[in-house]
Amino acid sequence: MALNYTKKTLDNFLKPKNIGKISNPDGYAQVGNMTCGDQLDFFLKVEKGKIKDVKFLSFGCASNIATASILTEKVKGMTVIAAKKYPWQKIVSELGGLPTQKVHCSVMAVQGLKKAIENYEMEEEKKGKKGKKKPVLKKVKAKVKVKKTKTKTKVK
Amino acid sequence: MAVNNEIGTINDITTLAKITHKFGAYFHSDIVQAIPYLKIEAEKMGLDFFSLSAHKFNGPKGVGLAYIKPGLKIKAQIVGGGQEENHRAGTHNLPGIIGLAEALKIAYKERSSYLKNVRTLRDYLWRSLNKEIKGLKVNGCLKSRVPANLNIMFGSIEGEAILMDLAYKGISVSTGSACSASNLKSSYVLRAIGLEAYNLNSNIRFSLGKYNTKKEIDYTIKALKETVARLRSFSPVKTPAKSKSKTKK
Repeated sequence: MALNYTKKTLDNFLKPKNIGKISNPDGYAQVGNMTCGDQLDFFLKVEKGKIKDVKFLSFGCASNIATASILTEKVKGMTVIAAKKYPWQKIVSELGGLPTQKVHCSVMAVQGLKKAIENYEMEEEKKGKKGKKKPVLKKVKAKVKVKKTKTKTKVK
Repeated sequence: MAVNNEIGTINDITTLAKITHKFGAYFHSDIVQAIPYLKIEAEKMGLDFFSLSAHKFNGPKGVGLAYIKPGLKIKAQIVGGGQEENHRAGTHNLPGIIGLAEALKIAYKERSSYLKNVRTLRDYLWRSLNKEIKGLKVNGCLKSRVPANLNIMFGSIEGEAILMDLAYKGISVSTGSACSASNLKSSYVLRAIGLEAYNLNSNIRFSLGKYNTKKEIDYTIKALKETVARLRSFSPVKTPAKSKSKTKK
């Protein structure tokens, strides 16, 4: 059975934008898996806090491909902060609506992009830590960890 | 089911009826997928009930047939009128009934030539696909199935994407998997025959009929080859490394 997709959704499925890989990405994330029936891999290139390039790979249905395609189109050039907040509702309206059972695809797409940005931010943070504050931060972390383990043992 | 609706495999309903009767129960079978592939002899097969609908063998939509072994009584399905010996209230769908009976007659009259033709086409489709596209596998036994059915596992690409891509090229196929349904449940049939969880969402059923031609099959092979190549080109999952799939002939 074929679902009632809009022309724009079909266009983005048949000719998806930004499809493929980026080698040595600044950010990368995978959401979903084959068992669930859909999976997206996002690759990011960031320059001066802005998304310079974004690409994706998909194991998924037509709307999985279309939602990721439109999302990557929309966030290219945005700051990572703004892109992280891109709402899934906007994807749905950009596509002119999605069948009810396919709305989750748009949620998954924004989650995947967010995860890729977080991955980028984490890598950036790591790079930062390697600079000045490294020893201080380590101490604080170690203290917190000890506390946590103690409470855990008590509960058990 | 006498014949499975997803993978077309033939079930031994005679034995199943025997087992059912051993436990003192009645046996009902949905035999619609078996028309006209199997010869249905209710008494010999031990069927107490069977049912079918007309549209599966080129009959009209909206009409079905229920067989009830003489001497058995069932509860009324629709109450309120005396039609069908109080079993189903409501005015008979006379054109539907005539259409069903006529379609049934034609289906069995043309049976032997149809079986031969459809098998030739189906086998040609599978042979060609298996040659042209790597990593395919037939779901279920190819030998013990009706000749109109082909259910293929693609691996690494999603079933509904294949379906939509083919639909756009004018080819109608079917998937019983996650994405075509309103819920996210994959095919229980494929799960039951032992498909790995990660392979449950990349299967397509091809059902052939008496009006399909070799030209259409050739077009399907060409179209499918392109579809699979396109979808695999951007799949994050690697194509199964199997060089040759198991083919039972």
